[in-house]
Amino acid sequence: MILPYRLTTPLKDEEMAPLRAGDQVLLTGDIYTARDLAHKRIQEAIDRGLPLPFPLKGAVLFYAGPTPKPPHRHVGSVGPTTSGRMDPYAPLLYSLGVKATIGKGPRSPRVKEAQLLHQCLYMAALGGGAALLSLSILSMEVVAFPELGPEAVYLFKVRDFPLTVINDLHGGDFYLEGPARYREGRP
Amino acid sequence: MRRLSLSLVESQVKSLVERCCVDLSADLLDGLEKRRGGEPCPWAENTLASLLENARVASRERIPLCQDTGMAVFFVLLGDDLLFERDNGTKGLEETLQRAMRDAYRESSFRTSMVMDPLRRKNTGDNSPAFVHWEFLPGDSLTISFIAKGGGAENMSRLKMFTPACSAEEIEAWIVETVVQAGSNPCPPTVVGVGLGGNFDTVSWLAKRALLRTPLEAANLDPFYGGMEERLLKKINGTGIGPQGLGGETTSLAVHVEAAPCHMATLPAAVNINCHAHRVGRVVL
Ligand code: SF4
Repeated sequence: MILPYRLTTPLKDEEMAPLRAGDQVLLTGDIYTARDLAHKRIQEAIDRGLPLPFPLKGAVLFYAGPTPKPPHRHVGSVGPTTSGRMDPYAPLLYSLGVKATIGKGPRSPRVKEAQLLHQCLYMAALGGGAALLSLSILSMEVVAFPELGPEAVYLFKVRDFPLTVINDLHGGDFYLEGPARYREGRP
Repeated sequence: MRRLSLSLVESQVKSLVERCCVDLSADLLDGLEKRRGGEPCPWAENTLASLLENARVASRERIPLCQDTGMAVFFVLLGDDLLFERDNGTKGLEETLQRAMRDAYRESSFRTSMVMDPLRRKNTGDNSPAFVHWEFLPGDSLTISFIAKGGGAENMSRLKMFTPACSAEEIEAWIVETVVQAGSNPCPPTVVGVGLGGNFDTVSWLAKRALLRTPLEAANLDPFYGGMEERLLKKINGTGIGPQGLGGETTSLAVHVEAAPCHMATLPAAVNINCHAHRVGRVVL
């Protein structure tokens, strides 16, 4: 069994470089959620030169919209949403300093190019694994657009949040390599 | 005529909704467990183990299996010989279903995922409205099926108007292609609902209704379509997409095909994919 890598935010290039598509990562630190409507708002703020809800430099973005915090627990359930819907926004956010994104599903060729250019990681969290993932979340707090409800920007403090590297810094893509390795019988 | 209390319907539907979003059904758990041992790739086996662990955590902590607690969809089979007692202060069955759904989502802290308008996109705040499909039948029974349908899997749906010249093989190839195009997006392993026949509007309803079939392994009673389901599942699980799209055998747990009469000039086909968080259940009253 290959041991997972441990990463802590803010992410450093030299810690991200050894990672390869398919590697397991346990992430500790701060991650910001942003999904469809939050991305629209962030894009508008950038276009108009307005202040941004959180520093993009070095940020890890989690494409997700959590369930509300239930009375009996410190957080609800949260897992990734489909990343492809955020593809139109990603290259600009990478150019402004976002270091990694977390979601599920493949990225467009244009996003993958931008990831390589700006040396950004793309990792998948367990899709539909929101109950399990919530065990690695220490706290959640709204930091922007509270009126968007589940689509607001939340800051999550996470410890050992389990992830799979999909796009590494060297052009690897596990959504292509994983199924190919299975088909070719080299597990 | 049989009298049925709407208060009773309301409380039963509310607990159905609460259960579905938190407790994965036994046949899903069995399906994941069975497939797990057969996965040659260690990461595929681990992924299925994590999904089972997720289901255990959700049940234990009483939290949703997935943060996307979905759009609420009801399929109602309504006996003609029923008389409803409006003892819950609503105007009838539709309002009862809507209120039971809203109360369940609010009280259980489920996510509300519905927006008021497709272009202006303001959250309705209570997951309303639920989608309600009605079918009427003789007798005095009421069957209410519920599915919490996530947006990620719903987005992978497809509809195509084939023509009668098309062969079953061509249609099967298109269904497999739909699953391949969906790839990792709908959180595989998936359940694939297929509608064939009907018309433009009913074919997608058929595809969604096909997802309700229990137990999961049950085949279409018509051996012609039962055989098609078996072939499709085999082909889909030969694509290598695997759990979460990371490679492996288990891309889908089941394929359910439902067919209906259609116009002699048409051959509608629709695919509605559901994720491993297959939150389906029913109450019979
Ligand atoms: S596709 Fe299903 S399991 Fe995946 S995020 Fe959506 S609702 Fe959850």
